[in-house]
Amino acid sequence: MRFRFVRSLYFAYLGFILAVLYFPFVIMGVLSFQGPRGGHTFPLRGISTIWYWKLFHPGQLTKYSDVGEFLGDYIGALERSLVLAGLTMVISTTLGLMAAQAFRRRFRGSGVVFYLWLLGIIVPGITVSLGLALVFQRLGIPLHWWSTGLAVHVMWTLPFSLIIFLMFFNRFDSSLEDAALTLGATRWQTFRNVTLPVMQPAVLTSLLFAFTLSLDEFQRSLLITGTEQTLPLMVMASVTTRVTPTLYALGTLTTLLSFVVVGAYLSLLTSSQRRSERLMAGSARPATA
Amino acid sequence: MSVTRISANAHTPMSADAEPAVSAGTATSNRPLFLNDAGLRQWLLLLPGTIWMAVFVGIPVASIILFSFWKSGFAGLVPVYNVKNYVNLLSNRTFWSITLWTYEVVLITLAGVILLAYPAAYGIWRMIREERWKTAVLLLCIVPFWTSYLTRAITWLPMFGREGVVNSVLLFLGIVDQPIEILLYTPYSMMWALWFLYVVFMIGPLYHSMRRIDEDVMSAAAVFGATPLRTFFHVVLPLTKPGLMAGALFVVVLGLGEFFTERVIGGAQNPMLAGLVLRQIDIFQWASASAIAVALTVLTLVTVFAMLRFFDLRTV
Repeated sequence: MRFRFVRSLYFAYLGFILAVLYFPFVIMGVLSFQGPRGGHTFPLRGISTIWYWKLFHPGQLTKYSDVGEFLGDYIGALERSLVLAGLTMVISTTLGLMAAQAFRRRFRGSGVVFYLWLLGIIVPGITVSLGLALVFQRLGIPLHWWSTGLAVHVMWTLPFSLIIFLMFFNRFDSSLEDAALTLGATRWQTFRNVTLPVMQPAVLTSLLFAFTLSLDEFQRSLLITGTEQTLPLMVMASVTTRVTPTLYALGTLTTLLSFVVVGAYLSLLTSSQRRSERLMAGSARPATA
Repeated sequence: MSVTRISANAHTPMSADAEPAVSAGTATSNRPLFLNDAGLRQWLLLLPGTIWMAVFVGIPVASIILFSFWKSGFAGLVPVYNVKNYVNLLSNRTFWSITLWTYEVVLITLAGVILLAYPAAYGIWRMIREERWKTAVLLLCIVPFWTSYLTRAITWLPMFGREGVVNSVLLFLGIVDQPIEILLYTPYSMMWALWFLYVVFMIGPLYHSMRRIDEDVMSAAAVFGATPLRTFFHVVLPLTKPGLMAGALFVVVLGLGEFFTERVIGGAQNPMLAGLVLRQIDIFQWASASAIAVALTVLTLVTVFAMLRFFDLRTV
C-alpha cells in the first residue's frame, strides 16, 4: 500500500520532468503559427503560416516585416549545416573507430593520447574559436564552413566518437576475431567481416552523436565560419537582434528533423543490435559444445 | 589478451600480427613488413585523429597564451610583449566577481541537475516494472540531448516572457494582476533554463550505472531491514558514483563555457567568463580577450583535473 503511494509519487515526478522537457517545444510549435502581428505573445493573436512563408522566402520585404526583423536565409544555412553535419559524422566516425581499434591494446603513452583527445571536449569552445580566429587571420587563411568550420566540428565530435567506440569495445568479445584469424582470415577480412558487423550499433551511435553535435555546434565555430554561416550561428545572430516567430517556425522544423533522425537511428539500432547479438552468440556456441 | 595467447600457442601465420610490438621484427609473412608490425599499425590507426585533435586544440590554446602577452592595436594584435593584460585582469575586481559568479552558476546548476536527475533515474529503475517502458521513458528523457541546444534555450522565451505562457496563466487564474517581470532576463530564469537544459546529460549516465547494480545487492539490503533511505545512501549512491561523475563532468565543462543562455535568457546583464571574452572581442580587445580565455581554460582544466582525480573516465 505504501509502496503504491511512493510509486505514484515517482510517476508524478517523472511526468513533471517530461512535461518541463517537452512542454516548451509544444509552445514553440503553437507559436510558430502566430498571426502576422503576434510576436511571442500567448495566447495567439490570430493564426497564420506567414512565419513559415517568411522562412522559405528570405530577404523579401513584405508588408508584414517588423522593424528590426532578422531577414537571413535560414533554409540556405540549414542546407549548409546538414552537409557539414554529414561530412563531420563520416570523418569523425572513421577516425574515431580507427583510434579506438588502436586503444584496444595498451601502449606506451596511451593515457596521454587519450587525455589529449579529451581536451577537445574540455577546452572551452570560446577559447578554440578565439585562438583559431586570430591564428587564421594572421596567416591569411580564408574562413569557410566547409574548411575551417569542418575542422573544428570534427575536433568537437571526435572525442565523443572515440568514447562511444571504447564503451562498445569494452563489451566486445575478441575471441570472435581470434577465431577468424586462426582460420586464416587476413587482418582486413577480420575487421570487415567480423569486427565491423558486431560493432555496427557503435558505428550508428557515433554517427548519431557526431551528426547532432555538429548540427548544433556554435561555440567553437563562432568566429571561424566566414560569411556563409551555419544554422546555429545564424540563429545566434538573429536572437541577439530580435526574436520573431520565424525562429519558432525554424525551431519547430529542426526539432521535428531531429526527432526523425533519432527515430531512424533507433529503428536501425534495434535491427543491428539483434544481428550483433546473434553474431556474438554464434561465437559462444562452439565453446559450450 | 587472449588473442596473443591463443595464436602464439597455435603457431599460426597470424602469430606475428598478434604478438606485442617487441616481437614484430620476426614476422615471416609475405605481406608488406610495415603492416605486420603491430606497434606501427597501432600508431598508423591512431595518428590521423590524434593529429587532428592536436592541431585544432593545440594551436588555439598555444596561440591565446601567446596573444595574451601581446597588445591590441587598431588593426589587430601587435607583437609587443607585456604582462599588462594579466595585471589589469588580476587587479580588476569585476574580473574576480565574474569568476566567482561563473562558479556559483555552475555549482547551482550542478546541484540542481543532480537533485532533479536522481529521483528521475531512480524512478525509471525501481518503479517501472516492464523493461519496454523503462527504455521508453529513459529515451524520452534523453532525446532532447539530440535536439538543438539553441532551440531548447529559446523555447523558454515564450514561456517566461512578459506576455508569455506562465504570466498569462497566472493572470487568468487571478494569482497576479500584473505580469511578473522577474520571470525572464534574470538569474532565476537563467538557472531554471540551465537546469532543464543540462538535466538530460545526467539522467542517462546515472541510469546506466544504476542498471549495473546487482539485483541481489538491493534485495540483500531489503532483507536485512535497511530503510529505502539507508539503502540509497549506503548502496545506490556509492555504486552510482561513476555515472554521477560522468554527468557532472559534462555539466561542469559545458557550464563553465556557457555564454548563450546567459545572454538570451539571463538578460545579458550578468556575464560569465565566456561571455566576458565575447564582450572583449566585441570591442576589439583581442589581447585581453585572450588573457580572459587563458584564465577560463586554466580554471576549466584545473576543475576537471580535480574531478578526474576521484574517478577514471575509462571505467564507465
